[in-house]
Amino acid sequence: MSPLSLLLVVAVSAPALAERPPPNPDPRPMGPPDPHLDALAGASEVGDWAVSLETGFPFFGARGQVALPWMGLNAVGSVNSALFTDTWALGGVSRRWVDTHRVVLSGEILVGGTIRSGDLSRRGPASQTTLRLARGHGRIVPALTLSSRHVLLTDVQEIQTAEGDIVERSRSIAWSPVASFDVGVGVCPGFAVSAGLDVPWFDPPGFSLPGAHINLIVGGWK
Amino acid sequence: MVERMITPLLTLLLGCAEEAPVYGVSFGGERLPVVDMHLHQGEWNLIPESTRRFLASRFPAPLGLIAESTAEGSLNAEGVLEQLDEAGVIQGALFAVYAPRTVGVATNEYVAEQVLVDPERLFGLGSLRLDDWNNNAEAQLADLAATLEKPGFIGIKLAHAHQHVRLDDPRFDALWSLAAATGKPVYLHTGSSPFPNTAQDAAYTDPAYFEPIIAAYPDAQFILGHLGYDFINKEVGALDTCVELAARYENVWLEPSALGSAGSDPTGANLLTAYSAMKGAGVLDRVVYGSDGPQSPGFVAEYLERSLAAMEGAGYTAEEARAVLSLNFAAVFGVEPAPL
Repeated sequence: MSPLSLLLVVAVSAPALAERPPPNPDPRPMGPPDPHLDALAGASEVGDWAVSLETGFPFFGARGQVALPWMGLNAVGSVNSALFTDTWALGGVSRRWVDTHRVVLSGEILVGGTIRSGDLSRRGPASQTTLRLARGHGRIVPALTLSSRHVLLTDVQEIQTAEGDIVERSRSIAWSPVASFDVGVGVCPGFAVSAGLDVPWFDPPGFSLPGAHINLIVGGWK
Repeated sequence: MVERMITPLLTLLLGCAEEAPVYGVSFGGERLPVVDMHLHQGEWNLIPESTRRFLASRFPAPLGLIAESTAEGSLNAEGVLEQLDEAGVIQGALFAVYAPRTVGVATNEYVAEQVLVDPERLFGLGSLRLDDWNNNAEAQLADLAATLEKPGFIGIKLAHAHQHVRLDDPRFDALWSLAAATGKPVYLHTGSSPFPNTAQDAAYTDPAYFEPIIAAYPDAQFILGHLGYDFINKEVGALDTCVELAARYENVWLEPSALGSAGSDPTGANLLTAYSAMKGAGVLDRVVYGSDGPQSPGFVAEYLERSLAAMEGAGYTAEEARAVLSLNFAAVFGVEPAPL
């Protein structure tokens, strides 16, 4: 390109550049929110919320999040059950740590309790730490979730002796991690579905079967 | 309700396609029929809580969370037959069990019902309670005698360690006499056991303690189950004692069930040692195959595969394998040899 033609291009382009709006500081495209991205990423933008309902094997559950006006935090509530037998009810906060046009990475800390019925019954205060990595933004959102769940168990042993009963308590922490991979699809503004695979690890080091699930996701916007 | 829906769904997901069963196994270039003499069934709620927990913990998670509905599918005759079909096993024997403090109870009446589900393929071994013998011996013996008269009942099942009686307990003469008089062999659990509350001392687990009774009742047939295996330490345990007893007494038979499972013998080395020892002692005409299934889905077939591998490793001929897998069962229990 000759210097003359370069000048011509600049001259023709200059009015157009002057008419453009200022660049959006938020790399996320304007328009309706992506509830599937919000849900799969684990945290919504300020003013947004998302609720997901999960069904599959072995997990069933519901999870809700709403963005808080402070520090990018979300309030999160979750009820999750394996085969309606091993149920975790947890609440806490999440936050997007990284949010670029390509990737959203969030972290989440929840506390609450768990109760398991049946022959392997147990109960106790519980916590869950989760990292979520989602590929955004767009109609289709793949996401990877890694959760580390802990429950504090108290064993009580009562020994009846001639001198009286002896009660001994011992505490232990049981760990059960879960990894999931999801693909979410936006169906229409405010509504999405996702399907995914679960790799849970109940009661390590025993073997656990993998699972699968479907999520229905709804979300609101600013 | 949900559990009842989940189990069939899971079965579909795991891919249990409907195919006509093919019976028998290939060994040494021949097709051999297989009879599994050691199978359990029963009702989950008759198993003690601690043992239910133990069993549930051994199911692949999360099936242990719904252990009762998972077990129901394999603890009745239909479930057992499915596992036999999957393994190519033509016949099997169901055990009654009276060990309320350890492995639970499967009554003679329940086994009688289950045998009738397919009397061509299922046999029964009756049992009796030993834990209140001083007060209840007569009634227990009468019930057992009546059970042995029922269709399909071919023997007696005992487990001293699970029933908390010593192997050399002198109070059971009438029981051994009944076995001799009726010609019904007695199956004995030998060796330790992983089940909670088992009596693990040698007097309850080491078949050497049973030798005086073997010697005193030559007309009674005794099958030493598990070959005295040490299930706690996953070692061969009293294998040598069992083999020596079989070599010395014609009324002693051997049954190598459970000890060679993936959980109890991960490398298969102990099962190979056992099959080699039995061949070396020249007692293969009194070795009767059993698995101790169904335990978990696929166990019966897996155990048979591991046993065939051990027999192959120990250099068994096709005729020796045929004896172990079916002919010796017919010989000790006095039934027709299994068809192929």
